[in-house]
Order: sequence, then C-alpha cells, then structure tokens
Amino acid sequence: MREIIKKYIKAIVIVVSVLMLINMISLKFVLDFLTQTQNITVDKFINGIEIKDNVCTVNEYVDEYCDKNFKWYMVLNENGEILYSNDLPDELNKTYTVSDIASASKWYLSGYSVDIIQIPNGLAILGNDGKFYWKKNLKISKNTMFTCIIIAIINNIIITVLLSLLFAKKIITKIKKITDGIMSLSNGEQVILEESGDLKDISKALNIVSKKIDMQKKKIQENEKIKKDWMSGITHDVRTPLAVIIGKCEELKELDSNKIVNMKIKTIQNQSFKIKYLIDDLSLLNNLDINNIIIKKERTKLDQIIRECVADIMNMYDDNDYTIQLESNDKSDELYMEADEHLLKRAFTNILLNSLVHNEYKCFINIVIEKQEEEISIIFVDDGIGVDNKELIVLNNREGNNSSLHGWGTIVVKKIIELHNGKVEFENAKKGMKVCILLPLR
Amino acid sequence: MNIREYKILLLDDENEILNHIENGLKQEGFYRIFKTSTIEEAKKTFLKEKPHILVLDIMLPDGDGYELLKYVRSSSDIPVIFLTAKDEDVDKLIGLGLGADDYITKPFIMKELVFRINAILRRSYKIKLQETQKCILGDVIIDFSQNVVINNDKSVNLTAMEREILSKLYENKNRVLTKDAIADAIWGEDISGNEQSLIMHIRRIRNKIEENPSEPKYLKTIKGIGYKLIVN
Repeated sequence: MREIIKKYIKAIVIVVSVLMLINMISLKFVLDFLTQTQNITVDKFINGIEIKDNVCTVNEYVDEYCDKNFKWYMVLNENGEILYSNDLPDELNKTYTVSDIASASKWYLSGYSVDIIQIPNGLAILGNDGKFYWKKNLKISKNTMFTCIIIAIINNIIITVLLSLLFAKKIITKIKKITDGIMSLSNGEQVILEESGDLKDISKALNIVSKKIDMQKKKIQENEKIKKDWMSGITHDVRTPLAVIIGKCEELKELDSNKIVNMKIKTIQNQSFKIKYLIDDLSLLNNLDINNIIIKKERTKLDQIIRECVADIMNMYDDNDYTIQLESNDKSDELYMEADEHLLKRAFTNILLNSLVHNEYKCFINIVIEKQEEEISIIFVDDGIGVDNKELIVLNNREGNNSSLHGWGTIVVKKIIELHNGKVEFENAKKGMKVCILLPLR
Repeated sequence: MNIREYKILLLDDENEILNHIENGLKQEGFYRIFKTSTIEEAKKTFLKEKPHILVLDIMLPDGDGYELLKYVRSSSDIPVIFLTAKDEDVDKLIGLGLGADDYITKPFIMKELVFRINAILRRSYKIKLQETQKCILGDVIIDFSQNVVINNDKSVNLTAMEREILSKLYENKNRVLTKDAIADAIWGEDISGNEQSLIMHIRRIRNKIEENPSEPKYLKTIKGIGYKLIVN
C-alpha cells in the first residue's frame, strides 16, 4: 500500500515539476520572441521618421502603425519641442523638460500609457489610454531573482506533495477497505463490506464471494461429519457381531478337541480377525483423512515399540508357527525419534500382520533396525510367498484415495509413515516380501 | 486375598458378549462376576457390590461408558478397562487421559482380556505372587516362597534378581515378554545399558532350571525381542 502511495505522489510531483519547467521555458521563448518581434518593429519605426533642420517627416508605415496601435503620437526634438503630432490631446501640447521625459518613461504621462522610442535627433512618444499596459517598477538583483525562483520551485513541490497526499489519503481509505477485505478472505475469514460509494460494485462482489466460500466450507464440514458418523456407525455395528462370532469360536474350540473341526473353527476365527483389521484400517484412514486424529509426537524408542508389537502379535497367535525376530545393528542404543507411538505401532503391526495373513500356517519374519546419519532404517523381511511385481508397482505408487478394495493395511502404513515425514517401499526379497522404512530423525 | 476372589463388574449391552467374558473369567478361576447391561444397572451394582475392577463397554442404550467412569471416579480409584468398538473412542482415551487403566478393541481374544484383567488387578492392588505358589517345569520345581529351585531333591537358591525375573516371566507365562518390560520391572529403567546384565541373569537361571541350559525347553529366547517361560 505504502509503495503505491509513494509512487503516486512521486508521479504527481514529477508531472507538476515538468509542467512548471515547460511553462517557464515556454514563457522564456515567448518573451524572447515577443522581444524580437518588438525590436524588428521598433527598427522599422525608427527608419520611418526623419528629423532634419528641425522639421519632422513621417512615412506611411509609421502612420499606419501608430493608427493601428495607438491613440495619439508626437515627435519631439532634442529640446523637448513638439515637431510633429497626430491626434494629440490638448493637455499634452507643451514643451517637455528632461524630468517630464524621465517621469513619462517610468510612469504614465498625464494618465496615458506611453511608449517612448529614441530616434536620431529626437524622441517619439506613442500614447494609449491609461492602464493599457501593466507597469510595475521593480528592480531585482540577479541573485535575489534566482533565490526567489528556487523558493518558488520548492514551495510548489511541497504544496504538490501535500495536496496529493490529501487526495491520495481519500482514495486509499476507500481502497484499503477492499484490500483488507480481500486479505481477510484469503485468511479464511468472513467478509462483509458496506456496499456504498464509488467502489460499490467491488464491495458487492467481495461480499458474494465471501458468502459462497462460507457456504462451501459449511457444506464440506457437514459432509465430513456425515462421512465420519457413517463410518463410525458401520465399524461399531460390525464389531459387535464379530466379537460374538469370535467368542463362540473360542467356546467351540474348548468343547471339541477334534483336530479337523478345530482347524475349521480356527479358519472362521482368523477370517473374522481379518474383517476386524479391515475395519480398523478403514476407520483409521477415515480419521486421518479428515485430519481428525490428534497426532501427538513424543520421544519414542523405536526398537522398544517394535518389540512390543512383535510380542503382542506372537501372544495372539501363539499356536501358530510364527517366528519373528529383531536385529539391531546399533550399539549406541540411540534409536529415539519424535513420533506418535500409537500410530507407529499401528503401522508396524499392519506390516507384520500383512506377512502373517498371507502366510497363514508358518512364517518367519526378520526385522533389522539401523541408525543412519539423518534417519533410522527399519527393514521387515518375511520368507513367505512374496508379491507379484504388478502388485508391487501399485503398492509403491498408490495414493490413499484409491478406491480399490485391496491392501488397505498397506495404505494405512504409507499414510502413517508419511505423517512422520518418512518413506516406505515394498520390494520382493529373494524369497518373500521386504518392506523398507526410512524415518528421519528431525 | 487370592486374586481369584476379586470382584469383577462387567457392563455391555450385548448379552452374548457378557456371557462370553463371564465364561472366560470363570475358566481362569474368577467366580465373583457381576453382569450388567445398562448404566443404571451398573451404578446400582457398583454401589451394592463394591467391585474391584470394571470392564465397560462404551456405547450403551442409556448413555456411554465415560459417564459411568466419571461416576465411579467421583468416589473411587478402582481400575477400569474399556471395551472399545470405535477408533475415536481409542483416541479419546489416549488423547484425553480419561482415567481408564486399559482398553481392548472388539472383537478381542478372551485370553487377552483375561490376561489384562489379571495384570491390572495385580498392578493396582499390588498382589504379589502367592507365597505358596510353585511353578513346575518338568522335573524342576520353582518355589517362590522359599526362593529356591528344587531339582531332583537338590535345592538351589535363587538370588533376588533371579527371583524377580522368574516371577515376572511366570506372571506372563506362555507369553512373550519383551526385554524392555523385564528391565522396567526389575530395574525400573530402559533396557539400554542393562542388556548384558539381563543376558547374564537369564543364563544363570537357565543353569538352575534347564536340563540342557544351551537348549532351553522352558525359558525360551525370542531373538531381539525378549523371553518366554513355557509352563504346561
């Protein structure tokens, strides 16, 4: 804003100064021109009057000239006696002294404005009604004149600046309201401007925009709430019957020690848990999307939380042939980072479950955690069936908004790692699948 | 008082789940179990029976579990476990620290819930392993009351550390226990700096209880993770 005002005032000052300069230069040229024209006329005039032996003769040019431009005229000799005259008013018919001439050349002659022109042996006096010319007697030294001009210029500039500032302020106030409104809009605030004055149309338009944005925001919030409630409702309603199914499976397992039946019951239970994990993942993704989840980052010991995830899983599946182990190549035990423990555990658990779920009866998973310069690397490798390369490409490149219903667990992992500014990549190991995670320390 | 005698109050609006949990607890030996399906019922039972631990569902027909928690907390500090069915519930519990001791998401495995109830009761009421408890590992008997390991009539003493570690493992019998959890229980610290110490103690314990200490049958190592005591 300030820049615009400054530029505006600068421009005005320049314009006015240039104007003044041009005016002064023009004035000088005009004056010069006038002087020159006058001089030519005067020369011609002088040549048209002759005084010889105290007699004056006047030619046509002079006659015409004086007729056109003057009321009367007379020609005096060196003694002040009138030698020739034309239309001379009676009161001027006399002999002129030196002081008369001196006073006439300064002021007026009996109330008449006069031009006095020197001619050889005499003087021509040409008269007009009084006040024909402006005459002011002023003697100014060059220096004084110079100083006056400078002061005038400076004064002009100051006055220009002040006046333009005044006008600028008026305009700026009006414009500022609009620009303030636009800034508020960009900050997401509502804007209501007065719809009056010169900028009424713009104010109106801004108000409309503000209202629209507000409505859209409300709509989005509504939609998100609906989506969230919908999701909540579904997950809740699914979990309860699942709990009953799994409970009954557990009871059944106690009742019948028939191995074949037990296997089938186990399958029912496992599938039910798959559904549970799916619900968990969908629900988490939903919350992460709406930025509903409060992500609390605290100092977390990564190898410890990995161990806790592994222990929980092994305890849950203790009658399966699962071997999970952790290798840490870090001797310093400094595997800390600022992280949301709950979310990271979800991510690691999902990776482990992903391997186990695809290799139901027997699985070996090795986890290697290593501290590198700026980041911590965690690599999960299983010895299972692996993933086909097409799947890999999808896994590594998919965005969370993909509507394909496959591998939600891995989407959750990606999202959570991304929330920690890390990277995750899925690869095929020599046998089985490899998941590489890099988490930055800062 | 034996841990089995502690009173447990259950609250869930789904009868199947109530029964399921009751059965699981009964199998563990608990016998003072109170089932309720509404908040009103639960409040009445809480006042009448004064249970030692609450297991609460969150979504109930006449309110939510947090309500009951507030009610209980106004007069008592007893431990509370929540059964959650929504992710938001979990966030609420974690983020706002509402004073619950633990939570488990439905659907859950019964033995997991039972284990947690046991663990929380022990922690909240500081129930030490019964002095008369003995652990039998094949031919070996670990007597926690005398701090000895009896092997073929030969009696070997357990150091205080060894006893601590063994009893922790026994509390978590047949479950993987992370070395972090052991370090926390024994030394109250991180495992960092204590690893070698722990390895040494485990080796000594194995020497005392295993037939072949280099191929342990009972005290297993889960590489990089922790240990597990296998008890039949």
